[in-house]
Amino acid sequence: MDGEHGFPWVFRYIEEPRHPGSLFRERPLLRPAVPVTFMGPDGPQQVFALVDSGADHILAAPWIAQAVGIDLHQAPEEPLKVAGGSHQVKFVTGRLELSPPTGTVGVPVQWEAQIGFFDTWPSPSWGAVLGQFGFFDRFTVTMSRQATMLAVQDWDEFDERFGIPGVPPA
Amino acid sequence: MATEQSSGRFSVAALQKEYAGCWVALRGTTVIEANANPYDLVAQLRRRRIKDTIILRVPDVDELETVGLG
Repeated sequence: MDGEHGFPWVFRYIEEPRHPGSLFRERPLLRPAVPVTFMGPDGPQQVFALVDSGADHILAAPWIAQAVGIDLHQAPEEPLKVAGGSHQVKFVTGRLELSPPTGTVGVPVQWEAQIGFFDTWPSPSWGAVLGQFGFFDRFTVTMSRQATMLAVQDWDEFDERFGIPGVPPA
Repeated sequence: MATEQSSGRFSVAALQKEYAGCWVALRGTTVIEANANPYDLVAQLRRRRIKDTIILRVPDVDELETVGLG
């Protein structure tokens, strides 16, 4: 166990349905996703978020901003390309919370991060994507497809594990 | 509604029969509200003063597999 948070936090992958005609229907479609809470003046809202090491940002569906009362009107906008087209994304600094998985004793982690809210969300099962800037720089994330689990630990765990001089998150 | 399999893994697939194409709000493994529109779902929750749910979308039955955000 690591500090007040009780790291490591080990989350099971979630299972999504496959298309009935899929070539791969014999094996489950599993995603590394965690429940994350968006905080705002109108209260919290928790969603499943895909843990995506290939994404540079934390990205979220626009309805989440409305749900928690984040005003996007003055937010700077950046067009981003995802498969299927480009989207306008409004970036704000927001507050997030990650809680330990069920059965693990620990204090939830809250942190500030830059969050990009899409104009329209492509509607996957998850409401947000946790990428490199804002998530992978706050936590050490270890994934195992064999175990179908991911482990979340403090940001400096990687450095301690591999003997690398640490650089604290900004 | 049970959405966890014997593996202990959360299964969106288990929700598809009843909630295909909907956004659902869960408390634990129980569906509290569901709606095809996430804004309407949040409004339903706010009207009932419910703030302790987790929201996700259940894909339609014939929906293709999502790759990244595509």
